[in-house]
Amino acid sequence: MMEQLLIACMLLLFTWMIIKTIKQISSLHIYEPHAWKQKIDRVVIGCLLMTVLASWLITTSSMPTASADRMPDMPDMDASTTGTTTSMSTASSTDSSSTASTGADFNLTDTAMKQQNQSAVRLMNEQALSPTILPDGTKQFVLNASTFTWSLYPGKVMEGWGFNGGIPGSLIRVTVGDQVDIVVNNHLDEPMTVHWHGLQVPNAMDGVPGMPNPAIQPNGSFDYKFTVTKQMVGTHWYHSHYDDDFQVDAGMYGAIIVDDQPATQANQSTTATPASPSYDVDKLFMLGATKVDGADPENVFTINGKAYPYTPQMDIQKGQRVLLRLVNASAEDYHAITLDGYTLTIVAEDGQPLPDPQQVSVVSIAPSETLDVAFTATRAGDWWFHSTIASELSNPDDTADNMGGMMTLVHVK
Amino acid sequence: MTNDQLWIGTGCMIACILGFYLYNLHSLLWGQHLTRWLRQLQRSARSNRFLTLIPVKTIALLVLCLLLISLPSQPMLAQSGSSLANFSTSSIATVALTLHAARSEQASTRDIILNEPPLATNAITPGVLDADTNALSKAAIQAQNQAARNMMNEQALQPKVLANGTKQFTLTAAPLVWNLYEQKNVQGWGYNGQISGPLLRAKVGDTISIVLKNELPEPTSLGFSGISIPADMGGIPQHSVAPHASFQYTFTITSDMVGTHSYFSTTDMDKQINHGLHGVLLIDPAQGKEYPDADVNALFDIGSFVVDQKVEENVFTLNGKPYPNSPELSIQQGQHVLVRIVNSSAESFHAMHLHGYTFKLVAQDGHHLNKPVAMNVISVAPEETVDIEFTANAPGTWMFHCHILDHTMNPDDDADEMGGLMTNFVVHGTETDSSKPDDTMSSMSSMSSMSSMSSMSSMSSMSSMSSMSSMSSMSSMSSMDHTSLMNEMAR
Repeated sequence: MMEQLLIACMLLLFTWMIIKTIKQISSLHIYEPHAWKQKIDRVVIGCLLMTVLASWLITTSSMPTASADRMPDMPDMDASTTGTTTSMSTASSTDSSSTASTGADFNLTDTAMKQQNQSAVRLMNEQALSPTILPDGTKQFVLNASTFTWSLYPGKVMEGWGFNGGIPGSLIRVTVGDQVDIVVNNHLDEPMTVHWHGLQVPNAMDGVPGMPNPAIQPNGSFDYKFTVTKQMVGTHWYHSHYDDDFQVDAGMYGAIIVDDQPATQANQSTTATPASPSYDVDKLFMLGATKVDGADPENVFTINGKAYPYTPQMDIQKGQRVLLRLVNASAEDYHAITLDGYTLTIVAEDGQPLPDPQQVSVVSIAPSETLDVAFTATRAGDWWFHSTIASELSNPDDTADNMGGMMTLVHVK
Repeated sequence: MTNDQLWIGTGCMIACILGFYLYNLHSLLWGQHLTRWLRQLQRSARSNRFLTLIPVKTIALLVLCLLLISLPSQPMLAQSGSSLANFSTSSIATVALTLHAARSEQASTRDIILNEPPLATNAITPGVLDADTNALSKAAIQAQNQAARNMMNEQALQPKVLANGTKQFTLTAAPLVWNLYEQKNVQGWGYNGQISGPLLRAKVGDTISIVLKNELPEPTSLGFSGISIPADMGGIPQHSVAPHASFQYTFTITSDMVGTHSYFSTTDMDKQINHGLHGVLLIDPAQGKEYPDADVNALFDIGSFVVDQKVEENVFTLNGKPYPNSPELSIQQGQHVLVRIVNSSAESFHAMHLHGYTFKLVAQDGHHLNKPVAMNVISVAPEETVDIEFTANAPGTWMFHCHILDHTMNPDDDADEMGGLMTNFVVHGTETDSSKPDDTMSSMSSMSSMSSMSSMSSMSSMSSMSSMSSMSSMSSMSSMDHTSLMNEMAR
């Protein structure tokens, strides 16, 4: 709207200048050479300014058609709560549902939005994807890559790219000794791969395009098979390694938690049990970022795919010992995280236990790094868990309030 | 606000300013000399006539342009950026030239000598300018890539040993044409004709003298990270070396200096470092090696450039070269590898990630950690150095790259192609090491056969699979074949 108004203004100015110029020329008097000089100057100036204006206008108007390259940011759509129901791609999404969601239907209903917000809570509680146990004992997981409408914060949805219809994708939780077969189906318009970040898998399973296996083509699929070794214990994550600057920020990532003891697998589909007996509560926060409104630096900062106020909030009992797994899944940005009222102890980095756990107030986390932090909920109250980078604490064009981005609440009761 | 918008805005504003000047440009328009125009401008500025000449239209346009810049960014703006950027840079150059002419004229009348470097476009943008695409022969480009490999293999500059035993290194800072990728040649600045500068290596107890010769158009100086040297050798800008002058940085290596350090320009740092004025200084113990267990030593100096008249760093290099020209590390399976990483980017942090391995951080800024920390992503701040080690027990080609994912792209490449801060560690399989009774190894070898099975079976479903992939997975089944294949490829 603003842009159109400005163009209209410029057009007005433009016409006014043309009229002025014509007037100037017509008022020339052949017998007054001095005045003639001055007027010619003004004509020249007019022409120059008009050229600038014209080139500006031409480039502005011709730009939408000249978009040969895809921009590395997500197209965002109108979030209308009154729109028609969108079929949310679920874990069992088929080809037809994924192609439907790439269409023009970008509206999300209230229930769909709530479902998405609930999925962020489930991920925080580490509810993992249930595998199919094959006859030979192999655990088979299915990851369907597709596009869908994803809501970030009130009034803002984007075209999400993700696994099993969510951002982040489904949590994969396995135990040392498991034979794992992860079937990745590509329902995107672009090739993709899955890289198991932090897992020492065989070279052919590493998920780097062309090294040695090519990327998974649209409508193709690939079986990533490996054995879970002791090295893999801890918090890790997976992400696409094809066109990764775009695809990771679009949502093509998820978490992997590898447990040492098989006992924790007993009831993994409902409630997660801590990996270690030294903790009562085990939670996961994936710190993400994305680009909306055509911005080039990342401008929406998320926890489990959602920006505040849609970020999942944590409820813990006073006295509980909490293990909080943090993953920086942002393609480009470092993050610094703090929990007000508490000192955090970093106990593991990239899944590897630290020789000397480190006590900090602010946790600095590099892109693709994972950190396990621990704290004991000694102080009751509602505490902010938030980024200390102030620019990450607001949502772009969110007029409702000035809070947003990478923040949430930890309720200790 | 994106860079492109900035350029467009600047272009528009400069056009307006140009227009304002042109209002007073009678003499120039009528074929007279530039200086007369300037004098007239000064005269008109003194007289009241000047006020009447202030163009309302131009000011209105200026305000409009400012409004346009402050508009929320639109994806299409970036498209127009390139076309308008050309226009704006040309107008910047014109303004710069006229301003320079005006300034030099004033200076001559007042007898003031200006020490400023000549105004050119690179004085306005911090980045490097493009060089001619044919400026370098194929052989010259290969020599540059070889220099990057030599640096990775820690080939150091041979010092001249003076009569008193001082080891003298000579670094000549001079402009050069540097090939980055494909057709991209830039007008960089380097030490001894290379980016990164040559590796300087000395032992504890040595007295070293680094002669810095300045063949640049502006002053420069040397600074060192992570070592305590005499204050007058610190390379503070007050001691900067004028063009065509030289300076000797002389100091004695003490035992606290052992480890990986860097040297770099400390004058006009943002510009000079990102033009290529950085290098690595390795200090060895008096006797023996710093890491006696390492079979393979590799050195990576991370650098960056600002190309295409952008404002932020957009080309990232290992030893001066972005992928695919970055040096590739070749390792035999079972070897113990020590990698030294130096961040010589002027502005950016980097998060280096190695595929397929968990490595140990053993030293930071040359200081050894009491307890090495295991990880797979190491964050390196500007001027920071880290030493990491791992045992290469998993064969294959493993990516080593920065996980800030816009650092692994070259600016005008396709989105899908990799570039920038990335290379491969090629671990060649050997027969003897694969039979080691190692826990992870046994699972790995059983895995490799499994993986080849799976890729074979998925072949049928995937039409696009090349025969190459099946070849390499088959070769990983029998490590003997694999070795010979890799050796052939290496040759």
